[in-house]
Amino acid sequence: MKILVIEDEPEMKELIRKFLQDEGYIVEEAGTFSSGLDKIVSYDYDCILLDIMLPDGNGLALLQKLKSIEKADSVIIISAKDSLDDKIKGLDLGADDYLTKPFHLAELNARIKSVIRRRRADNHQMLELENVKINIEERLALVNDGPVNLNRKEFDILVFLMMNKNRVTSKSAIAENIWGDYIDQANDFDFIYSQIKNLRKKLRNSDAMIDIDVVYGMGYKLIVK
Amino acid sequence: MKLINHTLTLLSAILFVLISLWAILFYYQVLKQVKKTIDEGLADYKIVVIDKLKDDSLIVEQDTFEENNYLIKRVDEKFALQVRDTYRDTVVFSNLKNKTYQTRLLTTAFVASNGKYYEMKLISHEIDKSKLIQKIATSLFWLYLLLFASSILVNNFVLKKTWEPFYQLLNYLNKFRLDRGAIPEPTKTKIEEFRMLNDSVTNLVRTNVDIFNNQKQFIENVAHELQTPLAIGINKLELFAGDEDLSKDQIQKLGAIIDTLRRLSGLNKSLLLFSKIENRQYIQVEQVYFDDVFSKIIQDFSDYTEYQDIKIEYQKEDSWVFKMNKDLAVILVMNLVKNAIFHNQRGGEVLVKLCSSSFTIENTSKESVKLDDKLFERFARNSTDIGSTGLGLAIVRAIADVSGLKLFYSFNGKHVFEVSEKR
Repeated sequence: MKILVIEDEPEMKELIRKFLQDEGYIVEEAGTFSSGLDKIVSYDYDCILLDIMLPDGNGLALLQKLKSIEKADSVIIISAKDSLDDKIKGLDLGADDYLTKPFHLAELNARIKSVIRRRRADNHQMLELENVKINIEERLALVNDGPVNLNRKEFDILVFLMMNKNRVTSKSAIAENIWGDYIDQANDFDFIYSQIKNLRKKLRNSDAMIDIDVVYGMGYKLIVK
Repeated sequence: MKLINHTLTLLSAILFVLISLWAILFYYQVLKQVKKTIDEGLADYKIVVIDKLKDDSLIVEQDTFEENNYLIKRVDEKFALQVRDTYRDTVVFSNLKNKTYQTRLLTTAFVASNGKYYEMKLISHEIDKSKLIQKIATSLFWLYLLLFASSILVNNFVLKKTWEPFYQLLNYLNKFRLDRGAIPEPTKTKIEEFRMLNDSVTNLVRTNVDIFNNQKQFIENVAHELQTPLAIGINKLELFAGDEDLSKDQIQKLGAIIDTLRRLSGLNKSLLLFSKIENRQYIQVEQVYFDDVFSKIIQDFSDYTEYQDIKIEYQKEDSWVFKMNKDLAVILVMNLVKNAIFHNQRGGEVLVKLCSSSFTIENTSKESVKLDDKLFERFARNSTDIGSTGLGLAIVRAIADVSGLKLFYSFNGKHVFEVSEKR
């Protein structure tokens, strides 16, 4: 799976590259508008991460170009600008998602996975790990092909953690993903714990081969038993 | 005192003094002229009388002015020759009128046809000085009134017109607000002083607006520029936290650093939001149904409130539909609800009451005293709260300001925040 990162900030680019490579993607990079354009025109990517503030041009123009040559690459805009206008413009131009800096890598990971999954129009594709299968569209969680009854929050947490399996996922990343941005001011995210606790219990009771580890002071980690 | 009245008062005072001085001068001038005329008359009369007295028999020496207006007294030659015609004021008693009156007296001497020398005194008709003064005073009073009236007219029409650029400038300055920052476009004026004033004020305002905008821009830029390094820092630490070799203790420390950076990032976002609200970048307005906004936000926070054992009660007495920016409405409600929840205590309560054109949010709190008015100022937070940015309520106020809403805080054992339509 090939991903193009168009980002002018070298450290940010490097960081995303490293993270995505760890996730098993093939990553290519571009630091400017022109080099980004070259790559977009010459190759196909499963997903393009596009910073809209580039030193030699606006990323939105790049997006326009991409659509005008009728490429079907998925695009996630990453921007330091939390601007509604840009967001609407970007999505109107055909971007698949819009992520505002700073973001959690876990969140980026989840968004990339969703975008790629959607792009394949393969709605029945399951998110699978060991004996656990998840159908996101139908909101179904199966262990050993038998349904597990999860509430909405538990299901969302499971999906998010499965997308970020074997990684420490911070409580705030989970909170933001499931509850939305506004929860970020909460003094502690311990309220997540009650949901996680129930989720773990349900996974254990259904003999799932996965478990959620508590990483004290950081967050949670979904592991294979 | 208004400028116009001030000039009017000053002008009338000056006019009064001037006219009074002028009146005195005028009176003496007139009196002098009157006397001169009378004296000329007396001189003519003298000739007539002397002519008449050529007939010696008519010369009768008298002591008082009777029916005649002259007295004749025999004098010796030597005396008569040194007499020059003299005119002076005198007071005469008239038997006829039975009163004394002022008059002019001519003293002269002549030699009659019989060769004898006589001294003759002639008097004129009455000079009524008091009448003269009265007449002059009356006419000058009317003159004064006329001048006063014309100065009112001059003030109202001429001065008002002249000072118009000044009043326009004043009006502009009255309405001027630095954060709205409109540069005045002064009306063209031919008067140099006003032109200079206009130029100075325009320059002053422009400089200040520039400085203000620069500072605002600076805050915005700083916040913007900080986002990327913050993102890098947070993400690097997140990657690092995935390192298998780290001890539990180290991971915990990493978590704490990440949390701190996240708070910094949150603060940054709030500052950016501020700039955007104050720069009026949320222009689109629509009908906002506060009922919907509340229902959603209370639902969003339900997990947190349940966990904290905080009871949220939502009383909808009426529905409130208000025309404002939807995003701002959501942020406004969210910040207030958030404030009520996060500054609450375990087992506390939040009461939201929605009325037809207002809503109130009441909450219990660890702080059981009325908070001071700085509540809505930036960073006016309780120093013990590490988690809060101290910007939440300031943002609420900024939103209320730009959206035409009124914000009110009171304390009745609970903290009460009320938002209502500004009338």
